[in-house]
Amino acid sequence: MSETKHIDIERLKKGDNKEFSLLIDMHAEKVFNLLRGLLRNEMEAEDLTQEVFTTVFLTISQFKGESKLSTWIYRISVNKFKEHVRNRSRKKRFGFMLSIDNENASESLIAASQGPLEELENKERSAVLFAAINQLPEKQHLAFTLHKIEGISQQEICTILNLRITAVESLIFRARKNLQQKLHSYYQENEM
Amino acid sequence: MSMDKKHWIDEAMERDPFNKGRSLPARLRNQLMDIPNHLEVKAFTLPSTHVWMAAAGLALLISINVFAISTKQKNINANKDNSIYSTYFLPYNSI
Repeated sequence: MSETKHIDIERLKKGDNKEFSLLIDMHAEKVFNLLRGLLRNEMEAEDLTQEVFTTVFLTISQFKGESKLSTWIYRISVNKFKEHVRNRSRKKRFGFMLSIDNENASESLIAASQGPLEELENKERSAVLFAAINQLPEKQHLAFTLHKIEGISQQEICTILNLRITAVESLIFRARKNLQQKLHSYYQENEM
Repeated sequence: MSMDKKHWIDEAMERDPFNKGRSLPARLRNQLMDIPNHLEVKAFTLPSTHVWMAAAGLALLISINVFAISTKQKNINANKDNSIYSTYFLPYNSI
């Protein structure tokens, strides 16, 4: 638990601002990037990151140190994401379609060194891949994204998702298989 | 563009701008840093006059209830039939 060496959990539980600032410096970027990867929307990721850290601040007294602090924060992030998706689908049912892709943000993020054709290809690939990932069952989506995007170990994913290691391995494997099936036609069209 | 079937997903994910780590926007960082102050302010913004008014309201409700019960009890005692016929029609007395 290298991260807890620097953060004094007891002081954090007492509401120490310095410790909370340190916590943000150490974990906020990871949480933000995780949520960005899951939501693919800068603004929604920012809002949800704020919600995550508000929850962390309010419930830090419940942290028992049974897992790493980062794992506990990731678990809160995943729960917030699930809640957000549920709310979004509820809103969609009532006819409020929300954009899940932020064109401007993705444009600004593509490296300037890339040529326009490559940029377009990347954008298209990325959109197709995301659409396929988004169609995966929730657990497969989460396990695959946590593992692939954030590079979180399978052991840590077990704790975050409250699953056994075999279940996580199986979820990642099935997610990959499903993605290959879903992207088969696209792959054939673009095969060189 | 390489379209190696085995590595297509990994390759596409690596190139995906949303999967590339991005530094925390300064505005968001400031908002996050402000969370303890924001929550503390909220905790202390309840005016003491409101608290006293709520307490006074509760005390008033309790005293009205106590007064109503005691008045009712007094009326019951005052209207009690103490005549010799008072027990004559009691349902549990056998005829």
